Amino acid sequence: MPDIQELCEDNLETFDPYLGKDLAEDMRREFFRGYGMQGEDGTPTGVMVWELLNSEKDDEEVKSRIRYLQAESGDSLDFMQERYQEEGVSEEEIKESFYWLEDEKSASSCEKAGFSKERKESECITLSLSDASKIPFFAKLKKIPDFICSLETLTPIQYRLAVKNCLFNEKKGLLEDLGYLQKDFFDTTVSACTITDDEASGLFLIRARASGILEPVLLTASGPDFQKHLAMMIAYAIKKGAEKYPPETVIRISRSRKETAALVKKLLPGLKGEDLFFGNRTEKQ
Amino acid sequence: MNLEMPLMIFGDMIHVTFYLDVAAAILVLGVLVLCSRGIIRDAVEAKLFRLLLLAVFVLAVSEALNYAGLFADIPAALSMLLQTVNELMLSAALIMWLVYVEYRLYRSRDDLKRRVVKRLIPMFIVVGLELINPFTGILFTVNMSLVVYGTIVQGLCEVVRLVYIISSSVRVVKEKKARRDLKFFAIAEFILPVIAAYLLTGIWPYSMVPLGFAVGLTCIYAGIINETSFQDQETGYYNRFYLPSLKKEITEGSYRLKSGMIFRLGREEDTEAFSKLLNPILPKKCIMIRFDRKTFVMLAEINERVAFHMMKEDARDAIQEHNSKNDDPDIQVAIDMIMKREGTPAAFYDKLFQRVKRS
Repeated sequence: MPDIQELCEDNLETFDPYLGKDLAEDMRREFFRGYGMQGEDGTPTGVMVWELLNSEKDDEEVKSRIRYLQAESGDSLDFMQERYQEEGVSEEEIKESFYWLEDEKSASSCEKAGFSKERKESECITLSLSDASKIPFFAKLKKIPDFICSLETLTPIQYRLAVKNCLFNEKKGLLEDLGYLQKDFFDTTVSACTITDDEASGLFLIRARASGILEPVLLTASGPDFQKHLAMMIAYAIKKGAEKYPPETVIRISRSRKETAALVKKLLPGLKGEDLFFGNRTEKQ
Repeated sequence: MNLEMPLMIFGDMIHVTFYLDVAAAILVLGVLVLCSRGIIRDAVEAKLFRLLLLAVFVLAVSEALNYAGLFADIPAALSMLLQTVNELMLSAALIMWLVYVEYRLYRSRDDLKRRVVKRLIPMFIVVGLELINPFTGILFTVNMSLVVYGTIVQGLCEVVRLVYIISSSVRVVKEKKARRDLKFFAIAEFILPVIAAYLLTGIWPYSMVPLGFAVGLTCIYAGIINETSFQDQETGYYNRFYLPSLKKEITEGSYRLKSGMIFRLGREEDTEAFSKLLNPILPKKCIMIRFDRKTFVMLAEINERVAFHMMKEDARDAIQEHNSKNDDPDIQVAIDMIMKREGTPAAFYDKLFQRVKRS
């Protein structure tokens, strides 16, 4: 029987070569789970990582998004799938699992395990910071008012209130674990906020990933001029990003939320995501 | 006979308008006096509402004086002055109405500053025209104490005023549909008398605009009093009289209650201090109810545990900080969370308040 371990702080380093910098970083987050597989000599031979969705909501079904699945052999992939189905799914009471994967071998292993499989355009698109600076809509916004500022200007109390307001409004963007994240989890210089009556009425949170990619993860604002504020926060972040990072820095935008997809379609027409494998499976308890 | 009839109608018009204006002034003055008793908790809202009432009061008085002046055969210059004051006050009332609506909708000083100036530009132009009118006659002239209207510019100014009234009211109506916190904003009760007054002034020879505004603002104030009856005066949170109406909303499905947090104070005397600590950390979307002297209940439409844990931590930190800085006896609070797992929101409401009552 192959040695499959649950990924945790203690063994993350062992599986670093498989995980890569970004995933290793994510594994320290609240709802990320994973398995690591080792050969007889202790060398890592495969990794499976998934993120739980809705796991803190008592009246919603828990879903799992398989973020990564990679192994040296098809058998190793199957072993991890089996373990996932037997333990991962039942322990967390997962009702549905889905994946977006690049590797066909991994997707086929999922298909073998009962997932559907289709090839379609990824939810994620990428563009460079210099391309973002050239988006006409933001390039035209020359003057950004003083009430749009960096996340670093928020006091801890202001940041926590802003996060609570997001959670109570069910606005979490891509951050399932928003309530667990500290301010410095984000790039506090590039991330922007809108200050209204000494409170943050808008947030544009951006992560600077260990790999150097910039990832916008939450964009929200409230109040009568929220649309204007959203646009100004994006313009502010692009400006700050251009000051801090080289122009070729990659920005990765997820279009998993329909508002983001609509915005991307409007601002970046014609920009396509790469083709990936997608599939899902309803879990039996 | 033929000459006397128009004069009789004219005299009648003066009398009726005078009495309507006096009635409007008395009504507004009454509301103004009631308002100064501090029923409106929000200081900015109270100030803006008082200024709005004051503008309508001066509008009614200046118009009454103007019509009274017609009997006293006042000089044309004085008539022009009174009419100019009258026009300016009408514009001032509309400016204050817009500012009041903006503030009441979002209760934000910053949003008010950011938005209102641009929106007021057309009205500032109208005010500018009213100020230069005595020297140019661009809006109206005075002939033997009688005001003579009829310029196109005057017509345009009236259109601007109507657009202000209608557009701000439409915004309130739209927001009211989406937001439960505006349900006491009696916008229909305001707009109906105002529009009726404009229409009647158009078809009758009597000016009814000040009375229309006075009645409309009295209705707005009645809405405020209604809202206040559901508010705890000490803290500004809802009181338990609000619960039947909330239960109705929950049963009808317009409020999807999913969770609650119960705060039980050790001593009644800490109520005010506790609410002051809680206010800066309260999320905007939750409903806070003061159930009895020592019990507060926070309700929400989410059931995400981390949000409630954050709330609990922040409340504890704020209390701890307060206790460490003050020599008074420590504020003691027990905090309890309850989440809906199954069943309807109405059943959960019953379960939650059974627990509140048991405590």
